[in-house]
Amino acid sequence: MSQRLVIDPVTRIEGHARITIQLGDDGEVADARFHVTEFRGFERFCEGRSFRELPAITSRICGICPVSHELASARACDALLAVDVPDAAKALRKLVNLAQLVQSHALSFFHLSSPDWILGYDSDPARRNVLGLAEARPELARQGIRLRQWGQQVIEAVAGRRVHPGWAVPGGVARPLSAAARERILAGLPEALATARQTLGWFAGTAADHQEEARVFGNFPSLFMAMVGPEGELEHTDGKLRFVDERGAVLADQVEPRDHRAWIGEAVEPWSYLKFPYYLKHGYPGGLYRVGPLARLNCCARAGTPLADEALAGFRQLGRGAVLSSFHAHHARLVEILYAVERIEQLLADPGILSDEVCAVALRSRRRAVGACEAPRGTLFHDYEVDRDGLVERVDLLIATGQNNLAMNRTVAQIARHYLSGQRLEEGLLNRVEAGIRAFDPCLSCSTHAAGKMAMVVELLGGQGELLDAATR
Amino acid sequence: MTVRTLTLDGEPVSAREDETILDLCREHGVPLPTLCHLEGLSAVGACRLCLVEVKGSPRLQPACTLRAEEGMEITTSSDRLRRYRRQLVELLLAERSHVCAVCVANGRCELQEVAAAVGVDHVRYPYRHPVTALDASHPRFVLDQGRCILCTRCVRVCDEIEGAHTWDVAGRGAGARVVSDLASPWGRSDSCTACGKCVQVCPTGALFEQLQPAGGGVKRREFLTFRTRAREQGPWGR
Amino acid sequence: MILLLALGNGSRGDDGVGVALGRALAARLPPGAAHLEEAIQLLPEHAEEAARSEAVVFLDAAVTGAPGESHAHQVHSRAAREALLHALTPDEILGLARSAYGKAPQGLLVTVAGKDFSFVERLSDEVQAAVPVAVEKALSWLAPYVAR
Repeated sequence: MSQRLVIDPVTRIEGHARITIQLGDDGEVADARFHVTEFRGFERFCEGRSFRELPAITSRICGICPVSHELASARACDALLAVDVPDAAKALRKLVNLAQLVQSHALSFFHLSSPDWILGYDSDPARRNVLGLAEARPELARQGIRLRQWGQQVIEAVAGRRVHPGWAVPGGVARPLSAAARERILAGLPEALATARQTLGWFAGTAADHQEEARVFGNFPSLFMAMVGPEGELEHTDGKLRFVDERGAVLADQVEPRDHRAWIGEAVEPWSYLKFPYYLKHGYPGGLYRVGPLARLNCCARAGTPLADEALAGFRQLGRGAVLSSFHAHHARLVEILYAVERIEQLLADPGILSDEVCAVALRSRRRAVGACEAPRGTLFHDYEVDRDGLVERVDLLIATGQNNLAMNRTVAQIARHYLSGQRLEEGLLNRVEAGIRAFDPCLSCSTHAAGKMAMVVELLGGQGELLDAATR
Repeated sequence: MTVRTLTLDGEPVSAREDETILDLCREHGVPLPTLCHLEGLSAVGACRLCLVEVKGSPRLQPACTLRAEEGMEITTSSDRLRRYRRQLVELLLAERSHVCAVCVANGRCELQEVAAAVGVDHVRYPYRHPVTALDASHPRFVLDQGRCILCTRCVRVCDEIEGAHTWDVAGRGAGARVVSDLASPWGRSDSCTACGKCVQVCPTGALFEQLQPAGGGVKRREFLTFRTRAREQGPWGR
Repeated sequence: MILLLALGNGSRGDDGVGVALGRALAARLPPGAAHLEEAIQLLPEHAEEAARSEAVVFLDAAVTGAPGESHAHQVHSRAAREALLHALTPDEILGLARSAYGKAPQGLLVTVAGKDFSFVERLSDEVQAAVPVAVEKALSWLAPYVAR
C-alpha cells in the first residue's frame, strides 16, 4: 500500500501551498508535488475593460510585486499602441524594476532565507527567523533592513507609491523624475552598494559550508530561460528571451516575447491550478526550464556592470556549464542586487533621465500584444487580445512561479529522497523541504489565476485542504 | 421685479422671483449636496440629493427645481434629510459597479466627494453588479455604463448647449441606460459632433477620454461659464 | 526623541483607535518632541526607528475586553516567537532593536478595547470616549522623557 506524507503549510513564503510526498510500495519516495490551491481569477476581471486600464488593474494582482505586473502590462499596452516609448520613460521603468528587484531579493535573502544558514536548519524554529538572525548576526539583519528600505524608497521616489503606484501607463510613465528625487536615491546608494558587496563576499565565502544543500536542493539538469539585452547582457525590463541548456549552450536567442507561445507550451495537471510551462521543442515534461535569478545568470553572457561582472565570474565557478542547483539562486540574488545598485547609479548618471517627455500618445493600432519583464522571481508575460475598440477579449498571464513549478516539484522529491528515513516526517526533513522551496522564493498570490476552464478542479482542490486524489477521481 | 421674503433654516432671506431654493442656498453659503445639477444647464431634479423640507408640505422637494415663494419656511438639514441623502448615495453606489481604485475619475469624482460629504462610510445594500458593457467605439471617448448614475448632464449639455441631442435615456427603472442616437454604438452616431462636452460635464468616470489613465481625468468646464455669462449679459464678445 | 507607533486600519471601525490615539497624543506633546508613525502592522523596518528613539509608545486597538477599556503597560524586549508571520509584535520590535542595533528603547503599549471592527470609518462611542483617558495614561508614562 502506498502512503502519503503531507507538509502543511509552508511557512515563510508568500501565499499558501501544500506539498505531498508520495511514497511507492517499496516505501521509497516516488514523487512529490507542490500544490497551489489558491484561486484568483484576475483574467476574468479584465475582460470587457479598456486595455488602458490594465496596468492599474493587473498591478493589483499582487501586493508583493505590483511593480512587475504594472510594467509587463504597460509594455503590452505599448505594443497595442505600436509606439516608441520615450527614452526617459524607458530608463525610469528600468530604474523602478531594478529597485523592486533589490527590495524583493533583500527580503528573500536576509529576512526569509538567511536564518536557515546562520542559525542552522535544525535550530529551534522559534528562533529561525529574522529576530533570531538579529541576535546572532545583528549587522546582517541591519543591512537587510536598510537595503530593503532603500529599494522601497527608490520606488517611492520615482513612482510615488510603493504599492500599486499607478505610474506606468500605456506609452510611458505618468510623471517625470524630479532632480530632488534623484538626489534622494543617490544619497542612499553608496550604503546599498557597500551592503551588496559585503554580503556577497561573505556568502560566497561560505560555499564550503553549503555543499550538501547545493547537492540536494534542486540540483538537476534542466533548461533555463531569461530575458537578455541585445548583446546577451543582463536586462530585466527591455530585453528579449534566451534559452540555454544545462551545459550553458544557447538553444534559442533574441526570441521576441510576443513569440513566446511558439517556444513555450503549457501542460495542465488535474491536481494543481498552476499550469506547467515547458520548452516546446523538448516536449513535456522533458522541456522543463527554470526562470528567476539562477536562470538569468545562467542565460546572460555578462552582467554589464563592472562589479557584477566580477561577481558573475565567481558565480560561474559553482557549476560546469550552467549552475544547476537551485540552492545557488541565493547567491544569484546577491549578484543581481549588486548589479541592480550599479545599474541604478548608471541610469541616474544620464541627465536625460530627468527629461519631461515621458509618455507617447497614440491610438490602438494592434489587436494582440505581449509585454514581458523580469520580475524578481522570473520572467513575467502579459498577453492581451483586444477588439477593434480596444476592449479586452483575452488576458493571459504567464507567471514566474508557474514556470518554476515543475522544478519545485523535482526539488521537493530530491530533498525527500535524501532526507526521508522510514515513514515519518522528521523535523529535519520538513525544514529542508521548506528551505528547498524557499530557494525559488515562490510567490503564489499571482500564479493561480486560471479561472473558468478548470471549474471541476475548483471543487476538487478547494475541499478541506486535504490530499488531492484528482488522478484517481 | 418682485422680491420675495422667506426663511432658510430659520434665517430670513429675500429672493428674486426667478430664483430657486438651491440658488438661495448657494448665495447664502448653505451647503447642499447635488449631482445632477450643473450651473449653465437646465435643472431636472433627478438625483434628489438636494431635497429640502418645506413647512406645511408633507413632501420633500428638490431645491434645484423649487422656486422661492413668499413666506416659505425651508429646512435644508435635518436627521431625516441626512438619512435620506446618505441612503440615496448608497443606492447609487450599489446600483452599478463603482470601483474607484482603477477609475479614471478617482480623486476628482463628484460621486466620491458627495459620498464623503454625506457620510457614506460603507454601503448597507447588496451591490447589484449589473453586467454593463463599455462602449469604446468612439475614436476619442469611452462610455462605461458601470459608472453612470443617470444624472443626465450629458443628455442636457448635448441638447441645450451643443444642440446635437445625441444622448438620451432608454429603458426604465434599474434597466435605464444612457444611449447615443437610437441605442447604436457611439462611434456610429450620425448626430455626435465629437465635441466632448458630455465628457467634460460627467460627474463620474462614466464618460472619459480614451487617453486618460486611471486617476487622470481632469474636467474642463469653462465653456459652460462662458456660455452662461454670454446668454445672461447678451453680447457675445467683449 | 519619542516614537509613537500608531497601529491599525482606520477603515475597520475601532481598529482605527490606534491612529486616533497617536494623533491625539502627538497633539499633546511639545512640538518636535515626538515622531508619529502610522502603520497597518509592525515590520522589521520599524525596529530601526525604534532603536533611534529614547522611548516608544505603541498605540493599538484590543479585540478583547469591554469596549472602551484602556490599558497601558510597559513592553519588554523579547527575542522571538514561534511561527513568525508577516507582522511583528511590540515586544519583538524592541527585541529586534536590541539585537540588531544594540539598543532597545523603553516601550509602552497603550490599547483600547474595540467593539465594532466592521467596514466603517468611525469609532464606537465607548472607544471614542476612551481616547482622552488612554492619552493621559501615555502622557504620565512619557513625563520623564518630555521633561528632558
